[in-house]
Amino acid sequence: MSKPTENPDRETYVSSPVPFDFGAQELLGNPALDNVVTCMVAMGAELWATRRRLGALEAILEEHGVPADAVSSYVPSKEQEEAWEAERDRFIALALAPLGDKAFRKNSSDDNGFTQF
Amino acid sequence: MDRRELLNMAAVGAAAAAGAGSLAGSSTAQATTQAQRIESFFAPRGGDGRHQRLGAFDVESRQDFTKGFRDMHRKTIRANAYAALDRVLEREGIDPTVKVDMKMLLAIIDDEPAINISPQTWIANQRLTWQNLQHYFHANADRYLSEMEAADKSGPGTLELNPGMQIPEHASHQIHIQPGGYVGDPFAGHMYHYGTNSFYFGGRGHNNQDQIHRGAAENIPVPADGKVKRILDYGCGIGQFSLALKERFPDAEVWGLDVGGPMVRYGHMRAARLGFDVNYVQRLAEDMGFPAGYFDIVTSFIAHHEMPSDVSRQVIAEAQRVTRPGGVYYPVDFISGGKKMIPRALFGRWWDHRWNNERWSLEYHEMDFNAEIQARGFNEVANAKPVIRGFGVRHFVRV
Repeated sequence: MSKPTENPDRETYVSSPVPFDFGAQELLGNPALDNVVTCMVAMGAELWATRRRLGALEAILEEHGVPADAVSSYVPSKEQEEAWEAERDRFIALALAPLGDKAFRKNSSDDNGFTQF
Repeated sequence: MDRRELLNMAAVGAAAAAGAGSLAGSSTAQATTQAQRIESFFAPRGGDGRHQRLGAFDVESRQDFTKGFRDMHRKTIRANAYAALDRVLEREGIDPTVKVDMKMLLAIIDDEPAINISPQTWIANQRLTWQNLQHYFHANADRYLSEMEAADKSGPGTLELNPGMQIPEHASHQIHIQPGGYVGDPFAGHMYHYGTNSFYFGGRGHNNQDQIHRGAAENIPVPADGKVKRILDYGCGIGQFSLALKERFPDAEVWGLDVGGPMVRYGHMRAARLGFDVNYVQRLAEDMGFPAGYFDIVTSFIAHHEMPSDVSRQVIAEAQRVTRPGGVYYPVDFISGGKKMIPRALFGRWWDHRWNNERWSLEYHEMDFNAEIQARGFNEVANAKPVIRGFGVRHFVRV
């Protein structure tokens, strides 16, 4: 099944943008370090989202009279485990994939004709 | 009840609440019930005044993080980077209050992590802002496309989309590193709205009730004869300033014009939901398509720094054409004029241009914008004031 945005009969009023080198900034003297910092910021967002969700969950539990240790002792079902794996992969892609961004330095090898990988 | 009726009811219910901070502000129990039904239909997680909550708690939480991060960045990371820049300037024997050019600046800051940690982390947070929103809206594309399709022909207000128009290359850049920019993603308007709510919080405070646009609209000057029948807001994006102008001038015919189809599409949907009779059109600012002398006030909100300078000049000329004699022209944008700036300011200008893809900002800032307007059939009003703190004073009257 195609996504709604890929349906040619569904007008979305878009046109092709000019490409941009997203994530290519080399600002800290070592591109790998740039990537690590990018990851840290993304991880912060995921951690905050998780903590906020936990806060909501605890409030809901409290409202329904569920004891706090019900979460600690909870055992997920097989279906839940599978669903959570997909969510885990999305989380890792968002938070850690920048580690794989372009990470070679502009250095003297650039001037010597080396192919960069 | 069909969708059209539902939308019209949304306008009535939400209009009663717009600006009041809560839909519960409707005057009758029936209106409240209708408004609540509409609010539930359009935003499963409800809203606050004219702000619709994002449809998923975790997406909202990540956006909440990006707002907090921007605030911290301004107070801590950027402040420390400036201090590091000052130390480097001192080492190099450069007065931090003297204007320098870009070549000189880049030679100073190159490979200095204590300075560059500031743009690095800001850009990381900016990327995160967009990725979070784009992932959400594309994952729920059917719902959000259906909403826009239903709203396209609803009112109040009208929408003109031109899917066959040629979008100029200069308008197709992914400004602010927003994926797809203003023209390349069906949810450009959605992303821009929630993304800029995060952005504004980092420097100017909340804007989820259009506070910044409403503040600027309140200060827009009127023609000397007091006649304000028609207003144009070009480069309107998602039309927040157009909407604020309609709010201030409820009897005026207000138009929002922008090159981005997804932007005006979202703007129309939002204005209609809030009950504002504003007309949005997808057209070029350099070819507006209105009769000569049609408008009493022509304005724009931070549009010109996102155009090449030659296009800016074309747009000023076109604005002159559609403004009636004695009408007010006030394009709201940053202070401009000169290639040299003090190092702190130029540093911010540089990385915003290169890594936040403010593609045309350097051209804009090098241009003497007021002089360009003055040269195209407008007279500058003496002793005018900025309509928004820290922005250029651009009060002109059509000759």
